[in-house]
Amino acid sequence: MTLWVLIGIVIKILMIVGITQGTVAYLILVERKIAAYAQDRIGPNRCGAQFGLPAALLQPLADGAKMLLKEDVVPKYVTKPLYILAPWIAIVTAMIGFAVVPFGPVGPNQLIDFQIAPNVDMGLLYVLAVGSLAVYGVILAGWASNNKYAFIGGLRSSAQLISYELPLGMSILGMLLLAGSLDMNQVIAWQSQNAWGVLVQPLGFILFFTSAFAETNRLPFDLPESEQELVGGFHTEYSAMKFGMFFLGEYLHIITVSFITVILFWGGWHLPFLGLTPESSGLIDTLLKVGIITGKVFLAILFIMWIRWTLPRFRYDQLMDLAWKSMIPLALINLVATAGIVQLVRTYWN
Amino acid sequence: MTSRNAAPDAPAAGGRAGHPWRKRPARFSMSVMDAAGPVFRVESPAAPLRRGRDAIGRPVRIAAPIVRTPPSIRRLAMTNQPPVRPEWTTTIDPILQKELERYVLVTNWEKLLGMVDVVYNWGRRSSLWPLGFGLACCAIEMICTASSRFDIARFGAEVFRGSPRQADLMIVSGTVTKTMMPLIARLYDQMPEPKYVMAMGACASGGGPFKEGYNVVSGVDKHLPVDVYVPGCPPTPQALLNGLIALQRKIDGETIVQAPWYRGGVERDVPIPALGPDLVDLRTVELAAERTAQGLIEKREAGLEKPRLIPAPTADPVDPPPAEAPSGKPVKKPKQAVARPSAVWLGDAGLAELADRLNAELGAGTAAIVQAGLLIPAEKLVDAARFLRDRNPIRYDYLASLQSVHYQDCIEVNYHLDSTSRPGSLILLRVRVAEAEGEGELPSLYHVYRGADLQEREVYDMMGVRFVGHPELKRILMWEGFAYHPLRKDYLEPYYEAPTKVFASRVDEGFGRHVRAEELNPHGTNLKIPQGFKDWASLSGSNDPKGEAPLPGGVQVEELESDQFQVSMGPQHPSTHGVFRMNVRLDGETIVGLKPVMGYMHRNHEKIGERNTFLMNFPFTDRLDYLTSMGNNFGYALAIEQLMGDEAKPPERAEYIRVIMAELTRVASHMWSVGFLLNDLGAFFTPALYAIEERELILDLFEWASGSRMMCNYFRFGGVAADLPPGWLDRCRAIVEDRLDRKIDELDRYLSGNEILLDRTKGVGVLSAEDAVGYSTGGPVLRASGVAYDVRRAAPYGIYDRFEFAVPTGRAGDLYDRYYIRILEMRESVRILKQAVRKIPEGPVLAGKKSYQIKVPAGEAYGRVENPKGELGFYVVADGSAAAYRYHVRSPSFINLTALERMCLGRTIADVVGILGSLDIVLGEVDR
Amino acid sequence: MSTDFTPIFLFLAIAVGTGLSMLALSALLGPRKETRVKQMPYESGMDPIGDARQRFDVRFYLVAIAFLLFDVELLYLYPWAVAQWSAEPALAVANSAGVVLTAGVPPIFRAMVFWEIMVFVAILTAAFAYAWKKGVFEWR
Repeated sequence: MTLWVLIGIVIKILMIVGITQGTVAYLILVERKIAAYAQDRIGPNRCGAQFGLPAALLQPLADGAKMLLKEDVVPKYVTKPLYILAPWIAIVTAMIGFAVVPFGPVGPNQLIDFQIAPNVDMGLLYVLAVGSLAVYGVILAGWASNNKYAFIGGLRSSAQLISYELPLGMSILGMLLLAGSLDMNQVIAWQSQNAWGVLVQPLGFILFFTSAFAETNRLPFDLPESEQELVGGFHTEYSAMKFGMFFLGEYLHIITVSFITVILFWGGWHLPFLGLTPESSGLIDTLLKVGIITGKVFLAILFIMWIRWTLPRFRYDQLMDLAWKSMIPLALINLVATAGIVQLVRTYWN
Repeated sequence: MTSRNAAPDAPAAGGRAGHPWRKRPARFSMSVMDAAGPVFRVESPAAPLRRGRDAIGRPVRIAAPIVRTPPSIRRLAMTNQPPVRPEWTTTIDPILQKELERYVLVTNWEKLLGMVDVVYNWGRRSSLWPLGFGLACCAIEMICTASSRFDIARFGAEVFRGSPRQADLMIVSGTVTKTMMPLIARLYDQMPEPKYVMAMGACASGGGPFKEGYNVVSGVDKHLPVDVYVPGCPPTPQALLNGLIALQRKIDGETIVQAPWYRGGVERDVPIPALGPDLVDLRTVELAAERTAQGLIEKREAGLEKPRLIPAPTADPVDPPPAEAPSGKPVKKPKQAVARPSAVWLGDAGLAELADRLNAELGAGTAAIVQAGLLIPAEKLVDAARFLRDRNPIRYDYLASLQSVHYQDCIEVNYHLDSTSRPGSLILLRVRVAEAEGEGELPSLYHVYRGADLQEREVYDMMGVRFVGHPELKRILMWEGFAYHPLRKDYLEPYYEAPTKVFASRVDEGFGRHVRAEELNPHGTNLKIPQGFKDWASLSGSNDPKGEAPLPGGVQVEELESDQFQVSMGPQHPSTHGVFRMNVRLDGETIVGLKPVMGYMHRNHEKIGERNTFLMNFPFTDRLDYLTSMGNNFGYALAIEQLMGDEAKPPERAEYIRVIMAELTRVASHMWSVGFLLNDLGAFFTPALYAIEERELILDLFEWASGSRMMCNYFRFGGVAADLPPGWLDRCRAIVEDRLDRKIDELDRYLSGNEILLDRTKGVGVLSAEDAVGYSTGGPVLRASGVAYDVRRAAPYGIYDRFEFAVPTGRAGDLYDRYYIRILEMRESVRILKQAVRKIPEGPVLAGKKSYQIKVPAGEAYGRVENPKGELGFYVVADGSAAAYRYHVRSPSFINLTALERMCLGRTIADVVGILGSLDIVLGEVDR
Repeated sequence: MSTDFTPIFLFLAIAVGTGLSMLALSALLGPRKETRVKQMPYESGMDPIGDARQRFDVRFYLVAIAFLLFDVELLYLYPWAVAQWSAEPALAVANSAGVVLTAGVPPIFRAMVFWEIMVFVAILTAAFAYAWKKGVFEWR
């Protein structure tokens, strides 16, 4: 591998880091705006108006500046190394998930590979693995804080995250079986040639998306932080940028999860009647593909946010019941049914 | 001297003759030469360029950072020499150059600092995250500020953080009590720098209407540094927003080089005051000790006129011994009111029969009729109560209210009993104990009526009467260790002036000066410690005498042993609806022990009510349950009207207005409670804000009629304060006939069938009908358990007997029923409203003529209304003077809390939050 | 089949750097006023009662154990799901990397592998049902 390739990769990484971090910052603003519209309010609209910018476009910058310049309290009774490690883990694990996510078309005949690591053929496994590391951030934060709310929040959260890990993992098995690959580009390619995942695996999609809510700690599964019970949950004791890092991590997770949803079940860059194929390249097609996939991701994110401002929260035992008593059995059934039907169809019809 | 943005853009400096800007220096800004040399620079309001706005578009006069100008620059500014400019300046437009120099180009260190400041300040001003805690009435307006009509989110400040670690701004919204002060100081200390404090409302700023209370801190700035004061009682949301803008301006004026949080050696924490015999500020503890040892307080009190003690009522009402006022003049024998415990009650004949039956069953001397109440000897109390509850033909199963009065020779504890099977047959039991402090002892009715639990503790706390057999007789509103029993007549508050208002110091001195309450007290603050107190060294801010005793070990839920957590939920906690606290013992997620701890909002309503003249007390009733001020007015008016008799019978129109106001209040309050119950269940503010929208419309009506959104102060004895303004009824009709039904349906449709809501509420926090009655719960809580007890039906007041409405009841008594019953009650309220707005007649709205000094005959009265939270009762003893002799509020929120523990045990921590939300408590009323 | 992890490691390094720089910047720029009360744990404004770290409910451990079992078994299913039909000639075209797929379950073994996996899942389900019956999934 030449130096130039490496530099190219680094530039790509930096761009993606920049774009995702910026997107996250603005997603927080979007979330606040959505909350406002859901609640018949206006939402932030002052910050940036001095410069003639509408809709508080500078709000994320102001929040970021304030957080950076805020006192970073490290209480005396915390386990200091772990306390500092926790937000760091939260953000690093959330970031590196993007390494294998295709933001657009990828392949030998494309202009650019819209993926940091285009040649990793087990992307999905990697994303799942990295995503499940995020639980450490939460558990460590809860434990290290030496605070009861944080501790209960951390416990709940660890139980919740690992419980929903299972249906999350099981629900994509059907899709893998159909597409025959862990490479996300191939999953998209399969969908573009056959049918979107949501059509062939509706149950798998519902299970996956639901688990995704739980994995990102979003309402109605936001028990780890459940403000009404536990004040701030696992990040009760965190201030300034460390708190901000949890925040960023959470939203980065939302982006990752939305990408996976779109790639696995919503056909990635594929839209019917546009004539896009895995091989189609050229500027217009490339732009179309990037536009479509980001558009879909944005829709998924909006949906996740919309839910947050609509539903009440589950109770802890109900949440666990849902995971273990409904979703895991359903995921098993989905797996067996899919495997059986595929076996039948591919053996006897082809 | 400081000057703003001093030298670099000195207007008179530089440029060539003939350039356009050169011709109008005076309009650009103005220099004034002082003989001593420094330049005062005043920004001209008519600044031509950008109209005096700085880099980020704010008016310079406000926004420009205050920078101390070094002498060298000052000198530069003084000299009128045009500095030599490099050649390139000629090539660009001088105006533009000026602009660039002023806003963009960094020309010197000052300028750089100024720019850093602008960014630094801009970040903080645009992202002020308030600490999510509310104290009292102001907190309601603070929440409304987040609602759609006002929307604090516009300023980027809607991110209310539960944890102080993430907050920038502490909005002290409401009365700061002594019990709460250590917690506020601790929260403040736990906030990271930079941090700001906003004192919202009169109470937080200086004590407000409750200033003279013995448990009230007269202004949070006695302990914390306050940045912005927001006046008002409560300030409207607009006022709070204005305060926020003022704070932003203050931040704009800060500079990073002088920021105290970056400087070493600047103390930024405040010492936590200690709850000893009183709230002691540890910074002044030596002075306090010295003055206490000198007995200055006692000396001062010796010279003051004390409250008069009256004798306890006797069986023969024509024989009150002529009491003498300290002035020596014999008091004119006051008019006596008709003796009856409440407007609707068992009646004289029934009471006589009941007394006979008691005497026959439990031996002679068990009951004697005294002023329409049964006087029962202390040792027979429990037997009599059991008999009344279990064997009497009318089962008196409901302890409506329990209160105490300090008389000359005894303390009377009296009990209002009612029957849920035959509502409206209220009776009054009187029991008397020794008057001397600490000697009174009574058998506890805890085991007969569980509803006596908290109320007996309150009597113990306030009067010092001990209840034998009460399992946990501790102080409830004040803290263990507080030196006095404050409702005794011989306890004078630290700011005591005279037995009744209006105090001389507020009148006689006229315009020139009046005496500040602080001047009345030798300590200069609201402090009173008995002279004998010696234990000063033990005072410490980290002691928590309030609710420190750990909960008794709960039941082990599993065979496998795990440690049980003890967590304090509250007083500052997102779910506790104010400064309420639950000491919770947890096993995993399961609640194995729970104790409510209250008193953090105890602002001495009853003691203050005994100084106020009768009329003066109206606005204080507003502040009890601050969500239902009209309802509170109603109850208080009824109590006094009962004493005043027929002369205060409200005219027809007034009666209708009262019903309209009370029912509108019910809708507003239920809207609020349904919305926030959903919030407690985790639906993030969306239902709450929609519910608040309707409430706002109702508040508009209140404001239109009474002049105030929340604290209406609208009722008067014998009517209401003013007639409805023209157009009011049309607007009200429009809301009642066209809007409310639709909106209630909307809430019902979107919420009631939601699967998660059903999962979270069905079968949770069940309270059986028997328990609900036994615990004396009231209002929706009682009816959700299936007991159709509604004071509007049980003991109709006003003109409620003329309206058609149903009393909805639940079946299961669970969280869902308590939620849904409120929806149903709103519907019934709208039904009543529709009838009322159609039938309301024209006519006067006040009986008699308006008067400041109301003559109230001596006697006792208990006025009860069905408030949205439950039965609200006002027990008043009048002695014929201008103020109430004893004034007690039977507050539904307080008494409903008795059942909290019962509902929560065995549930999870998330359920507790919902259950508390379904009780719908308001702390102003719980702690009074 | 080429698998190149270099970009991932580069990305990891950059992510680690980003995280560290955030921590460092915040520590550098923020003010420091350490006071006794500020350094106490927060508990609704009270002095905390007792220690936060205690032995907690055993059910949390059960969740962890149950998770471990199922997750490990789940790991066996991924390779199978991918491999079961990967040898399909039709799928080889879809490979965007341009490499013809040859790995996967050979067609003649597919039925056998399928039934093996079904047995595996059945055993998994039996274990799940057993745990359910034993009350592992009772959360209250």
